Amino acid sequence: MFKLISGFFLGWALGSNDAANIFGTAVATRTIRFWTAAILTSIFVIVGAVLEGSGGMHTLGSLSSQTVNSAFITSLAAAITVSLMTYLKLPVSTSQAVVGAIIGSGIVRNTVNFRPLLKIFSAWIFTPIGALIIAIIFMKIYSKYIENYINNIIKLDRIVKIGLVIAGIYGSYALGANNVANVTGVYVKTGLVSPLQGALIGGIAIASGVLTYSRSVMMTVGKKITELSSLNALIAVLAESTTVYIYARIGIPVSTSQAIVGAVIGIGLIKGINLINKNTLKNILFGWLGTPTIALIISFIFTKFIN
Amino acid sequence: MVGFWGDTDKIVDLFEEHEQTVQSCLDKFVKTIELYIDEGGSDKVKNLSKEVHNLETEADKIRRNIIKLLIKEKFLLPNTRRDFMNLLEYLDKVADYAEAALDYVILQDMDISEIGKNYLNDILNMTIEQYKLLKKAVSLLFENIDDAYEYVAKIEEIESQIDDIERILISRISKRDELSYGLKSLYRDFVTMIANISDVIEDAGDEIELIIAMRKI
Repeated sequence: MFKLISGFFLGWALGSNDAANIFGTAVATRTIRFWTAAILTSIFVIVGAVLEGSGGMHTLGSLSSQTVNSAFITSLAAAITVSLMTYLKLPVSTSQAVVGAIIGSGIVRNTVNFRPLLKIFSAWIFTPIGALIIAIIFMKIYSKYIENYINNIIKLDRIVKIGLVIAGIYGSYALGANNVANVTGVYVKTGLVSPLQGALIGGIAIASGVLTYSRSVMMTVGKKITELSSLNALIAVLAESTTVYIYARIGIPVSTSQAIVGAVIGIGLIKGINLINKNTLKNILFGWLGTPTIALIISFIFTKFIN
Repeated sequence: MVGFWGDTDKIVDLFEEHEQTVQSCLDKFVKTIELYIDEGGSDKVKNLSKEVHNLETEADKIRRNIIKLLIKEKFLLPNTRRDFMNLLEYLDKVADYAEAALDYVILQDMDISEIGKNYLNDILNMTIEQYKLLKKAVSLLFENIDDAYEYVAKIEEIESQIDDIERILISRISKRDELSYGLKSLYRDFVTMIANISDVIEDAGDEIELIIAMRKI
């Protein structure tokens, strides 16, 4: 069980980074207190992981066979990649780091199955695009069917407040369901833990990151999202959560950060603001290519060294 | 309604009370100026002037109560609280500016009938009309925000008309050779001060426009 520690470390890093994409808006605008957000996120991440987290585990498991040692190295390499990127203030995606790390270790052990990669890459590319489209659909639905019924500021505030909490809970559930595979998927493949145990341990690991280290990231990310307005931020979080949840159902772990970027761009398009700039595209591309490559190299070196 | 969302009706009531107090202050200001043009600094004018001061102080008190409520209550998003505070500041300035303009003439014992009674009356009456539109626009924020746009547009129209009168008056004052430079300067300042009331009403209208725009898709 000691070898689960690197998975736990990865889950902690994931929780400390990704909770910001879910409750960042509500916390940064002081709609709800940090601790309320952190506790709600922790509870619903675990619920999502336990109830619907197995699909992603199956997908990641199909990339390569695992031993307890390789699972340890894979998780450690992914966790180091995520920590390094966070330290260097580069865009981070745990899902992409884990896939890179699995392949890196698999190459050394000659166990990589490249077939599921196409499905995974497509999911990565369609995460921001999907969130963009969903955000546009939500915006259209709101403006056509709902906006006229909420023409009182106090009523609108209440709806946005409740909405941000509900979207946060939904997003936490989707994060747990989608991303828990990144944390303990490789261990489940080894048979060291059952899928249910893996989901529970992974969920708790993510929750530990949320509870101990997510406050500052939440404030930073939340303030960026709320530059749009509370209502638009709510739609962005709902679109992001829906996208991530869809991928949880499909069974492919994706990046919540890229989903929120896509949603925000979609809202910008509707409002006539072009939020697609070189930096945004560079960050997304780096997430698709740079993150898995770095994780792959670290994992490759570690596995080579251990072998 | 006091409950999970806090005292939601109270904020609306206090806003209405504040608007009404500023309206009374503005009405009294106009009445005082009109009387001052006819009678100069009579006792009646001084008493009316005191009432304007009292109403301005009353508006300040209500404003502070609204701010306290905005800080204490939990039913509004922080952005909305900030927007309401900005709007409240503009509304309050209407009373402040009226009080300041009145003090300006009374304390200096100026004969403002020289400026042009009809023009001054036009500005004052249009300002009252403009403020009534602002009151309606504010109340629509709590009823039907889309309709508030229409009132804001009318507020802007009136402000532009008042600006035209202000320019005519200043030009007339400047061309009058019989007036000393000092007197011209005092008259110009007074005209600017009463026209500023309309400017601040327009600023409040702009704030309302911003509040609505930020809440639209």
